[in-house]
Amino acid sequence: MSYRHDVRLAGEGGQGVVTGGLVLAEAAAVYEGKNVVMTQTYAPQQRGGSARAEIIVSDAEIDYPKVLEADVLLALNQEAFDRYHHQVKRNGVIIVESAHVGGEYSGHIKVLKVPLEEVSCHVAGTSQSANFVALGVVSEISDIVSASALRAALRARLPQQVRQMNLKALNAGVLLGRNMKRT
Amino acid sequence: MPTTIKQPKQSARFMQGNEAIAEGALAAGIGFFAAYPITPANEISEAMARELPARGAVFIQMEDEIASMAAVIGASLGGLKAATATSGPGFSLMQEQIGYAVATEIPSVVIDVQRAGPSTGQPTFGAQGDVMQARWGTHGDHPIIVLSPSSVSECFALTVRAFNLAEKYRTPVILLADEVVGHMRERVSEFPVMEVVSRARPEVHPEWYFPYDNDLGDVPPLAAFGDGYRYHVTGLFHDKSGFPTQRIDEIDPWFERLFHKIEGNTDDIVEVSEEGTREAEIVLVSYGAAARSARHAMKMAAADGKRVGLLKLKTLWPLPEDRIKELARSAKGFIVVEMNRGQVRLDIERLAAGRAAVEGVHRFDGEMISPTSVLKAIEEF
Repeated sequence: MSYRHDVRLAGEGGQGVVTGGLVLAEAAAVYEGKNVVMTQTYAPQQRGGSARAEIIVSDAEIDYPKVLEADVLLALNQEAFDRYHHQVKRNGVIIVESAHVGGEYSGHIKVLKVPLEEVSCHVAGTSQSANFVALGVVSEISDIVSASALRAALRARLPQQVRQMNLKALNAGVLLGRNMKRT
Repeated sequence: MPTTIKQPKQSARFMQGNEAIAEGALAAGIGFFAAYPITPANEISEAMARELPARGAVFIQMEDEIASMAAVIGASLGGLKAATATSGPGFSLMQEQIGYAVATEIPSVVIDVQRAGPSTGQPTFGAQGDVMQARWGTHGDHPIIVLSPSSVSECFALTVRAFNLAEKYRTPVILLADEVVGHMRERVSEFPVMEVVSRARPEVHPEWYFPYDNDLGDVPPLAAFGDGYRYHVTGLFHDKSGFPTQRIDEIDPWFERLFHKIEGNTDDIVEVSEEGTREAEIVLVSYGAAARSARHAMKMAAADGKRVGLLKLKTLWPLPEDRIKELARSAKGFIVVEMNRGQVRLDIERLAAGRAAVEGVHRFDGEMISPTSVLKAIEEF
């Protein structure tokens, strides 16, 4: 039986969902040899507006390149959560930035509230690596992509001056994810 | 933390459609690229600006799209394989020059990465609204070749093909991509080595050279400016030497040849891919990004035991008219899946001519057509 993992990363322009998506997709495609298709949607302006990256990982040929129902949804702001939490598989996972996504969610899908930006500030000295904290979590709580492939893709893709801080963020996310699995 | 660095799997690359188009242009031997910036085609220009000067080729950012297409025509007359890339608003501006290239028979490649329109529309959202503009955007009766890729590897292959057809038939060729395919990234292995075609050059003495000699077959050789051949180029109806003429006995054979070189060579020009069409009750007709929705739906329908096939148009114009007529006899009907209000569907209706039913699944708000909406149309057919 072939598999198809649908991943949606959503937030606003400038939060790094497209960069994060690219590293996740390249990790699975180039370093794990899986079939991967990535599309992105963003507003014309560089910052602000909604942004999303959609990644399909499969061992079969991928036709429809957009998310049907997500296995993993990362919602970095409230709008992203409100818009996309309905399109998640029953056994899927929603990871939300706890600083920006509030309210009570009474659905049946597992929601992980993570202080991604706080963790990013703590380990990388900036909130801007929150996207990579999230990727670290994804690698641990799902079998979409491994942390080592993510590290390799990150090193290859990101410019040297931001590589270390994002690696730290990624590694922190991996530890967080590992702890979440235990609880 | 482990520090071992993973090595990439053998020769796999994760690549964007627009990057693959640029690689295709390089593989085809492009020597000149002129364009004006526009989303979602910019990655093509960026790659050209990076790659061409290093190879001794020319990249120029022009003042607008009219000038870009004019520069492409000039460069091609100078003997270089030349292309431009744009999206809807710029494509509109290029139409007059495209007609000039048709009439003067100058090889050129125009890449239109379609976005939602009309007007400036939605720059970062995909659509397929330029299908009829690609066919009929420039005025006057004219033939045209339009190709439509639906994957990253097809972006490469059809770009090489666009250059080859432009050179072989002395005509502008339009590569009609869309935002989804242009910006989509896919894992690709090494691209295949493809045959590369260059225009025929004259071998006769310059005194005896006629750039529009209708007696030399469908495509007379084209001399490059600077090669020592003196000739005239005009958008006016012209005689075999290229000078304006109003003589019917000179215009008619030229017009006849202009159309025949495309319509008489559809075996070579028209490329489709078919899956399950032979036994199909319903044939999905689609192209570009929409073909991915159609193919997904076809597989879902097949899992339900339905006999559904897919006719994917890699060459959009000219259409595979004979094949569509055949399928109109063997299948119950067609469902045309396209990200516009039915631009290809109109022609499928014309070709089906009442022998088979024709329905459409259309969406044009910038989002892709979902496979479930195609499946619904199949179930309700």
